[in-house]
Amino acid sequence: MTVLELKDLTKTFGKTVAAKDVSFKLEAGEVFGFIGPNGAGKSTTLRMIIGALTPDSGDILMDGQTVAGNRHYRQNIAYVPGDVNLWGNLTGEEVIRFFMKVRGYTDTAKKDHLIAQFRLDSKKKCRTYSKGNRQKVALICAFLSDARLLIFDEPTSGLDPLMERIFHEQLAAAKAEGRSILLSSHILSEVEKLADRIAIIREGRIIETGRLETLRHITRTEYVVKSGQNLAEMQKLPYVHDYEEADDGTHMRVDNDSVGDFLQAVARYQPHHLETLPPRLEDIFMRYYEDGRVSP
Amino acid sequence: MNAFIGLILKDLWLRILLWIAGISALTLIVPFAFEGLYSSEQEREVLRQTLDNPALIAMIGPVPEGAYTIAVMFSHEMLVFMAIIHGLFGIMIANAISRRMEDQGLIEYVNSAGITRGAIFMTQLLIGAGMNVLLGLVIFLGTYLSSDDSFTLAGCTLYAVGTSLFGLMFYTLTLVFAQLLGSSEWTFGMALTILLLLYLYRAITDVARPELSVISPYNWLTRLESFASNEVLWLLPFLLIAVFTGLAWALFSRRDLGDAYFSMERNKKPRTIGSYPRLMTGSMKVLVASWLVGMALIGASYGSIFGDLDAFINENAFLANSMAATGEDPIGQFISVLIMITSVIGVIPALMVSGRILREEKHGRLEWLESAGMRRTVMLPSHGLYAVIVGIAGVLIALLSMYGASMTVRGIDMTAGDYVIAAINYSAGIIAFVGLSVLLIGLRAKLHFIVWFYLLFTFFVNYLGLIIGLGDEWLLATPFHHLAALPVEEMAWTPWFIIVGLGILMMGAGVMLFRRRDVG
Repeated sequence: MTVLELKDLTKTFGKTVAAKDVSFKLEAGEVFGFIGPNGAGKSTTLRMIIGALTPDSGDILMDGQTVAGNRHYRQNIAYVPGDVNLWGNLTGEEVIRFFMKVRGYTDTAKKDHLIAQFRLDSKKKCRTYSKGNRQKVALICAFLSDARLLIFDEPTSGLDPLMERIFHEQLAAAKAEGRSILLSSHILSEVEKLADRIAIIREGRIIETGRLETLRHITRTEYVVKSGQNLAEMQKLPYVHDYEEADDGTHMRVDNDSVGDFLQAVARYQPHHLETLPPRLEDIFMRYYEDGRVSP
Repeated sequence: MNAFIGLILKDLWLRILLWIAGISALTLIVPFAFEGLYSSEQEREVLRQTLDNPALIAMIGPVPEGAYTIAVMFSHEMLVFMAIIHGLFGIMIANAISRRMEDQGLIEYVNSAGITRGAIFMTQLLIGAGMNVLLGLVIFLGTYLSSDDSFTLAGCTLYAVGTSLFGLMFYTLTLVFAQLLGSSEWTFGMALTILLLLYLYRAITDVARPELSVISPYNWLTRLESFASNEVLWLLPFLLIAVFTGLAWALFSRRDLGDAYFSMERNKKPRTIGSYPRLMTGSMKVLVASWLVGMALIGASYGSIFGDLDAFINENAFLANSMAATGEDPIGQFISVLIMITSVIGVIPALMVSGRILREEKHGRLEWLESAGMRRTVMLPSHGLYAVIVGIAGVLIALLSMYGASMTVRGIDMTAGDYVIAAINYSAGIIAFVGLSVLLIGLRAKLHFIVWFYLLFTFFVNYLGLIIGLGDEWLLATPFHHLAALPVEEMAWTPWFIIVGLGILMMGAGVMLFRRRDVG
């Protein structure tokens, strides 16, 4: 079941095109990773979904219904902004209680549990909070809600590794409850670990969408080769990159569409060890950004 | 340290320049206007007579002795009032580069980069001194270059030095508060309170006990008698600047960064805030409470001079006779002017309340709140409605304190009910201003400054119009002019309903527009 669908969303600020024909679907119970560098249009897209920005064109569908003119759709959403500014004179506890009250949640045991989990000193005024602590407040508010769709904008950018793990655990728990999660991030390892599917955005356009495994087909695979002969000649081949001789063998990255040629070429060197390392998200990402390639 | 000054100036130069340009323009336009309006000595003498009454003495200070030249007139009518703005300039900039920067963690950051506390403090001082010197130079040159002979070298120097020192004194005083108090809001609030209380003190004592007025720095400026006897000695009290500077440094060098000598934090039980209006009123508690106290003080200080007003008119047989002949009630005239000025001041807190939603927007909280189900069509009207309530409450409190302070004065034929009617009358102006504010917020966040300019315009037209006699064509553009001038005029409901209607219309349009526009 499709929970959220974006259709050709476009948003311009003056002459800057912040988002151009952004489309993707988010299915029930899945974690969708939304990646791209700063300024690529991630936040603009998320802010169109929550209604802070009105798209110039395109449509946002929630459960198959357009959200334009429907003010109730937000009841199903919990959003954590990228940089949370809280009310300096309220304590963290007061902010969390406020959000519980206006959204009608009463589960104080869960609240206390989350505060303890995230190790938030909720008695302090928000003015004294660091970025990480402010993020914790917003995360707790989101995890407390019973919204079916959770939207996180770079949620771990201020958290320490320990808290990052707590966040990952809470995310997994939310997913297990059947909730859908839209996770924007530029931390690839995080998205790789958590996301079922991803979309890559660059300069306002989605350049790739899909499951991680499918995306790996368009990337490079890393090979480790050991051979009695000198492999140095191989680095001259057009599809071989990042050639490096190490103790455990010679590493090289090969364009996936040229694997056949590579295997023929390497066969001539009589390798006695050939190992394939799985492609990482980093590689997918870097390839797009290095080449500046935009898929047709 | 040079790099640090450069950095701060890069951040602030435009603000400083705008302040300097604004203050200079406001100051220098007046001699120019006077030369056209009051070229003959006789005209000026008539004006001096009109200004020589308790209501206006409270506003602009005592009438100087000796020849009333254009320069003396300029200094008399502008000095005390402009001093407030010079003080405000000092307070805003000082707060921005001391406690505000510290709140943002910037002081700590530059300190860690090897810039010592001494260098930070020296930078703060240099910027304060530099901007006031620059402002003084512009004002000196501007006045000295004006064509009238009465603007003497000594007089212009003294006027410029006096106002600059006044600004610098509040600058250094703000630096002291920045060490004592734990947030930029408190620092600003406290410094502003002192600035305004000293003005009110001067207003009351100038009328009732002129010899006591000398405690207020505003009076030191008056006693300079620039363009007349040029009493340079009255610059000496401004040596207080050195005391404030030393005190600020002593306090700054002895404390932890981010710490303060007085803590305003109290450990309370957490409250449960259940709605946006409650969140909004809670976050503006201090702002609203201090404005209501301020309005009460303004009303009481005006009310306290009514007795002198009465005595003054009885002594001045000529004035009393001429007023009686035209059927005018002189005290009523003065009171109606004071009531209108008070009401215009009452618009300020109202606009602060309605404009506060822009802070929520700027900090990205508005969209967060919205994502949690709060509606823009509830949040903006909440601010609008609360603004109207605060504005009207402020005027009502001011006028009732005016009544309270003048109860013992005989010869004033006004009941508490009359003051309440006057407050209701001028509440229309407040609704119109809040309406414009909401409309601008609905259009675009950046446009909201227009309503402040319009208020400044309204204030100057109504205030200066009274003193230098601006024509009606200026007054027509302000809502307050169209409302009945109570108590001398009868309450007029037609303009009241029109202005209230316009205000509500603008508010409605603003909310509709706000629903659709991009936020953040």
